[in-house]
Amino acid sequence: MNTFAHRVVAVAVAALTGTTIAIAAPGTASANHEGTATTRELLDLCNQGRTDSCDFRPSGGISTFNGPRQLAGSSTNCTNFNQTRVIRYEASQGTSHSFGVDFSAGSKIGKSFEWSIQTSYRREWTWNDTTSDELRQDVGPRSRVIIYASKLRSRVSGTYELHFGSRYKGHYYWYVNGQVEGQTRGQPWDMSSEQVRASC
Amino acid sequence: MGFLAKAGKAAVLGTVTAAVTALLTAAPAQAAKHCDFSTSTGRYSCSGSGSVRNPGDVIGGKLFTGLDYSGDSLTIWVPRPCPKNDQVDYWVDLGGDMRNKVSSVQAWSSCWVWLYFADGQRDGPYKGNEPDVGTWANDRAVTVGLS
Repeated sequence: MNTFAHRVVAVAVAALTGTTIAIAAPGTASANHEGTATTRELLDLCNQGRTDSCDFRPSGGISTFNGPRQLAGSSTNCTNFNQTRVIRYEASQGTSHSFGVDFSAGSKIGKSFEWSIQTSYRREWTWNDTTSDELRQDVGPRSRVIIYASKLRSRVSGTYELHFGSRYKGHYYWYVNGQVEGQTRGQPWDMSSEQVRASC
Repeated sequence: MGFLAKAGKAAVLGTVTAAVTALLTAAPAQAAKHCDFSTSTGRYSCSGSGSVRNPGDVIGGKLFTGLDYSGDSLTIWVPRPCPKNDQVDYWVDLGGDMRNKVSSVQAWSSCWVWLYFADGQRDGPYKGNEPDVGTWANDRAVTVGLS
């Protein structure tokens, strides 16, 4: 799972009692005491069904960006003649996030996120997307053709609002900020090829 | 013009001064401004919620000047979730930053969001994430109610 260049510090804001704001970096273990909790701890409780609700509320629109260029396939021609090759390629992109817990399609926070994207933006989140096919390509003598694939990706920031039926560490409501990168349905792959000198 | 909160019938008068100060000192709009207002303290700030809310406050709703929760935002903190008593529990009169500019809203905790217009009409309730309040309500809200 990728991590973001700028990891978003999760902020759990204590609610309903007059105590603290807890700030926790995702995945960090810390001594918990009344009024503080880590991101992992809170979202794990959500995943375990120990919260009344955990709703993801987006902040800002969905931003799009080009994903990393992946090597998807290649073919090497070590002869002294041009050749036409059929090159198979395959590339895939998943979903990465800053929460530090199980954030898959089947997890509770994953389902909450998916529902929020659907209702908030009327788009469908795609947790994994794979492209594969084959193409015919001329490969020059003693050359190698490399097929690259780059996915148009989406980035969403937002806050999980967790509600506990009975106070958890003194509070009914906790807020956890974070960021998710992946793709919504229909975002295209950008394919390109490059011919380089082969090591024959 | 500022943010005037009323919890039930009791208006929080200190709000006006705080909001006016905040609005007068606000920098010209460049990056999106994310501001907070608490109905329990009457305080308003665009530099984090810490100086605005009571520690026990929860988020009742969020307003955005752009579609899809983009643009400037106002987070409304309330002392407790809306009790679902068939009445509007928290009122916020919008100041210059938000007045006639709301385009998308979010309802938080148990609160629903109502948008009131200058002509006395209203739209809502918005019960969750609403990326587009629609043509009729867009850029018309002058007061927000949370119920």
